[in-house]
Amino acid sequence: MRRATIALLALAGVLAFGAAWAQDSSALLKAIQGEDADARAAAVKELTALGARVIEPLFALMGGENRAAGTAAQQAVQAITHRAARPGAEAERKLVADALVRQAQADRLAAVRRFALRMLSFVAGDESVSALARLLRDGDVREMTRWALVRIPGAAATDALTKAADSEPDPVFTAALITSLGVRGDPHALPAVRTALDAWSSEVRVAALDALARIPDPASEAALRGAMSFGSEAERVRAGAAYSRLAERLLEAGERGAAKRMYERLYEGAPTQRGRGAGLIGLARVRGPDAVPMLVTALESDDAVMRDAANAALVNTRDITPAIGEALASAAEPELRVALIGVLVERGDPRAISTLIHAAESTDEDVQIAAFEALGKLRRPAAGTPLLLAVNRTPGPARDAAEAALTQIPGAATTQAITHAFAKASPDVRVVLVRVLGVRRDRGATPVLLAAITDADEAVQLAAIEALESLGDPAGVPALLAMLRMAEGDLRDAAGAALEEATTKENRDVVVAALPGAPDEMRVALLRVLGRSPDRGLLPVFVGAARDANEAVALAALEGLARVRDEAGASVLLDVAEHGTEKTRAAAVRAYLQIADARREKDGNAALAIYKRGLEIATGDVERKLAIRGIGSIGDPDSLPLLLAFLEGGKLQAEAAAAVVPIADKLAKQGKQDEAIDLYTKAVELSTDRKVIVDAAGKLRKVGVELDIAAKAGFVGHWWVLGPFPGRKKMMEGDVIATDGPVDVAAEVQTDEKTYRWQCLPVDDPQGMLNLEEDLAKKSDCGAYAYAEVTSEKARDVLFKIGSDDAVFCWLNGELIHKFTGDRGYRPDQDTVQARLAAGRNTVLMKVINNRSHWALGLRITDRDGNPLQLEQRRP
Amino acid sequence: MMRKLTRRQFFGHTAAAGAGLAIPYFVPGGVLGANGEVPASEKIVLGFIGVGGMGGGHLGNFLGQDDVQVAAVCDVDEERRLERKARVGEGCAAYNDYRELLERKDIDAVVIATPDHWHALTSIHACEAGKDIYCEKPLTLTIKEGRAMVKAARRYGRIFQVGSQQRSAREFRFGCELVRSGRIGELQTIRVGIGGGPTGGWDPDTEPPPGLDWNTWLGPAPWAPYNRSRCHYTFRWFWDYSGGKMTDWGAHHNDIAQWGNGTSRSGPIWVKGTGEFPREGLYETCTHFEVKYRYANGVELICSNKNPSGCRFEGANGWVHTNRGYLETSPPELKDESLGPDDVHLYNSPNHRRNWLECVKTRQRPICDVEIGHRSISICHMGNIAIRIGRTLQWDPETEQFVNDEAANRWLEKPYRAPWHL
Repeated sequence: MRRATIALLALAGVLAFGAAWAQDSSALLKAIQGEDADARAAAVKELTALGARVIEPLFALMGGENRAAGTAAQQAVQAITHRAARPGAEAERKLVADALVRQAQADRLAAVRRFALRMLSFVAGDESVSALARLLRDGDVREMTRWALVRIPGAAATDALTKAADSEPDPVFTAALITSLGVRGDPHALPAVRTALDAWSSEVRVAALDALARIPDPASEAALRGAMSFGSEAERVRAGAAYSRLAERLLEAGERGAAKRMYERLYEGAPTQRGRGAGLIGLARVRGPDAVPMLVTALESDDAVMRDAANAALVNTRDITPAIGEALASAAEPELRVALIGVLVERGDPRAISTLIHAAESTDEDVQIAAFEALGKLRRPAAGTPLLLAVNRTPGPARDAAEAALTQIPGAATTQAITHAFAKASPDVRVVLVRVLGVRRDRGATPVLLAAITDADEAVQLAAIEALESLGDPAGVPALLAMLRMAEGDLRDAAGAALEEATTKENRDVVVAALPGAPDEMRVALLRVLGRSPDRGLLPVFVGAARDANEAVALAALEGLARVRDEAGASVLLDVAEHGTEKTRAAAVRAYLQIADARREKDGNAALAIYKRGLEIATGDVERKLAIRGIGSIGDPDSLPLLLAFLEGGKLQAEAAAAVVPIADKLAKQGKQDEAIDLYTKAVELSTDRKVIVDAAGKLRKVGVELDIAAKAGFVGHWWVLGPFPGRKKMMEGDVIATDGPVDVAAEVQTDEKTYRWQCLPVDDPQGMLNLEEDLAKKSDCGAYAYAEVTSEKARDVLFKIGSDDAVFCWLNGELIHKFTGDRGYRPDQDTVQARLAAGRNTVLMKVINNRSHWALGLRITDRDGNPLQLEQRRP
Repeated sequence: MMRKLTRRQFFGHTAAAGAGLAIPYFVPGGVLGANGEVPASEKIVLGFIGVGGMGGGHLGNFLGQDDVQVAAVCDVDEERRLERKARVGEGCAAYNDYRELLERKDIDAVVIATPDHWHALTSIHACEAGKDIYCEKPLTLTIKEGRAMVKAARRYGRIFQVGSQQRSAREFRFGCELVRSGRIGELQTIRVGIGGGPTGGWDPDTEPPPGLDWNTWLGPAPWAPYNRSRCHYTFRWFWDYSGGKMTDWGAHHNDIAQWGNGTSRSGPIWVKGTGEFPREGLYETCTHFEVKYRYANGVELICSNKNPSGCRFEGANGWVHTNRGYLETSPPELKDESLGPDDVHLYNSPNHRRNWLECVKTRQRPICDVEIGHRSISICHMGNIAIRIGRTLQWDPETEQFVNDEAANRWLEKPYRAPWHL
């Protein structure tokens, strides 16, 4: 009784669970058919947990009109399949595989069935194979069935493919089945594959050759060898490739003897040099060091294929470095020795070092150089001493190579060895050693370098100071200060540069302390050193020197103040700006404006005040320009009156025109549209900065103001364009169309490959730029033609002002009047060409060639004085 | 004048040289053509397989190299094929079938820029035909393809450069040198940022456009009806032809991660990933993803579309962030430091294509040798696999197998549509 109750309760539980599951899956299946992409994605995730049970309803959604639902269903099946294939889920795997087999067999679209087979390739085992074997006879899905069977492990799949190959009438599919057996690499398939070697179909025989190469069995060797000599050329070629592949597989499978015999046969008797080369490389793998003499002999061959193969084997074969070393030691020909040294470098094996050191003692300079370079590349400390000895040799390429190598040898011990060698070296060698120490940047060398700056030989001194600059060791500061005090000319300049590198925030007090009483030239150098790492703490030093009677000292101090950019220096800067010399006044104003640049982000008003004051006290245009730029950057409408005067004319007009744009922006924001438009217009008309012009013109366009400034400037505004034609080089050297007369823009132009038509492209750029990259094609390595017609009421001398990106050719009335054949970015008026317009219609043909990136053209026509001509232009 | 014997002179490098001419060891430096030009017999004769976007770009660049002659182009899109042939000019043949191009004995080397699913076959066949190879990234569609390519290159002694050209850019190399030299202390984490993948529309299946050999375009990939979304450029958002953003850009930035970590010829030991797939449209590859990898040296690599673009190495004492034209460090002055002999100096190639051409001549290994390219893209494949099968995986970089996961190992190779096979 009690047992029956439990059973009933259990049954009720199962039924309840089943009902709940059915309800859940139904809702999820509905969700993946819905419009909501997020809901579909969420449903896919939840369906994954339901496993094999939902596979059938999911397949029912595939291939229908609701493509999004079909995609979601596929994603869900994929997730279910891959989850079921996880290790330790054998029962779930089988359930899913069974469900997929049913779908592969079902009466569904072939594409849907193929999808089921694809999924089976990930999850199916032996239990599914008999059903799949039947599908190998189903024309709609047999290729995908074969595809799936390739992936399914186990003897059953091999057996199914073998049987199918045996009974398949179609040679193409038979070949595919044989190939599958090869890919699987299962030795059980060998009888079937070998049988296929005798097939009447060449395709099947070739497939069998390739398959034999993948299944490592020495017994296949004879068949492949035979096929290399007989059969069609395709079969012989495939057999050759298969032969070396099989040898490789045998070697990997531990069949060393069989592999060796095959490689020997290849090397001695392959029908092609490539085959022989592969044999040589394979032999090296099998024989290791014993193969090296043979490889060296091949390296000396007249045959490039064999040389390349020998080189590859020498570089890639494991554990043959010592043997190569022996070969190098016994080689007589310098050329061979150089080649072997190269091989050792490629191998990067430190065991080669002693061999290379020995080779470096060769009497042949090429061998020496190669050995030194190799020692440098291998970077082993053991090479330090021999390289050090080598730099003591007679100057020349070999010593240069040794010097370069010595800079690359790591380790403090090498640095120490160099410093020890220094004391006994001749002056020219001392220079070399000091140079090496500089490149090595090991501060362990500082004491020796400091001693070297007082060397009796000036070349050594200079090299030592330069090396100290490279090291940047603060320990060098006192000695360098002394050198700065005592030396002259190059030595003093070098000491200053080295001192800059050695001085840090921590040790700069020594430099500051050296200032009082120092000669003027030294003070200049010291102030520059301090200016390299500026901070507020140095302010008193620079302020103190800014009014120095010596102009150079004052300028150095002002440079320092410009770098510190602190307001505390403002009063002295203003004082110098008022009372200094011409040069110091300008420097003081620049330094003063730098203070504003530093404050601009945090306190615009304070910065503006400085810029305004700077503009007042500036004595030169450079400083005024900086002040105007600064005023503009703040964009305060109240400062506009200061700029208006510059807009009237003069050298700073363009700068002022650029500066008013941010002010116009602010006015526009304040609703003062008319004032803003007025300023934008001035910017467009008066600025020379393309960015500013395009920006302002764009802002004007937004408020409905179109300025035809390009036409006013005389730019051609309508071009008929033909292209793009591929090949920059070709376009540079020749033409696709006739260039010696008018162009018929209605005509088509036919090349070997394509028909081209002229298209009219109006120019809407304020600087008259025809943007071919945007308007025609975003393309590199090409060219195009641009054609225009202008009418002149009389014959007249004019200037053609051309800008282009990149190369450009210009024909006026059929005559080539200009060409530029380099690469460049576009600016207006890059080239000015004198030309003569005829009365009436004139034809202008341009060829613009793009190397890469941007591609553009612009042409404006002016009179001989540069005044724009607004000539009538042909329009569409 | 002092003679200087180099490897380049030692190895006669051209097909002409290989055709039985006895090349002396030593070619005097003065053996140049008229006007100092490289004589035709000394030029490297190239063939181009795949001349669309990337291939067309390569073509333009190689045409500008003095020591190169372009003998043939191959593309299954007739319009592109003929346009590129015309661009090269006289003497350039055009093929639909790359095997015909490979049969040409006068061609020394090939530039391969097909869609990804064709890279392995064309490369391996090129090796068998004795050609040196420049193959675009992503190098492969599967991990086993990569191993097969490495083997083929070694079997025939070919020079094989992978087009992960960031290795030839100073900012990446120097960034990695700083990391490898310990300037940021012990390396802990690498964050790789690559953009998320796109979602496509529902372009209808149609007949292929005239001149496009769609069957050959598909090649080893399972048959699918022509759809313009599947073809030029956007093929990269379909699993049968590519691996989405993960491989498209991972091939670059994960490659740099490997370089900086000193694991260019190895890989991680652990991988876990999450991702989202397109909810609309035909594209299949991930729109968002985050994959974590762990290396045997304890370094964690996080590759995500949420990370800032580029490759950021984080160490115990600072960081190095490198991207195209960009190198930032902490501390900031690190990027201005110089390297000394005690630092790690990596392979320095200022120009990726030139590096390959020089290596073709000298028979030295190029900067992004096939083994390196294979290992870098393998990381991306592992990430995609971990995302797609939804579980954490252990990886053995020696055997190149997932550990104790037979189902995951089924992903290492993808069957080819007959008659193609690796």
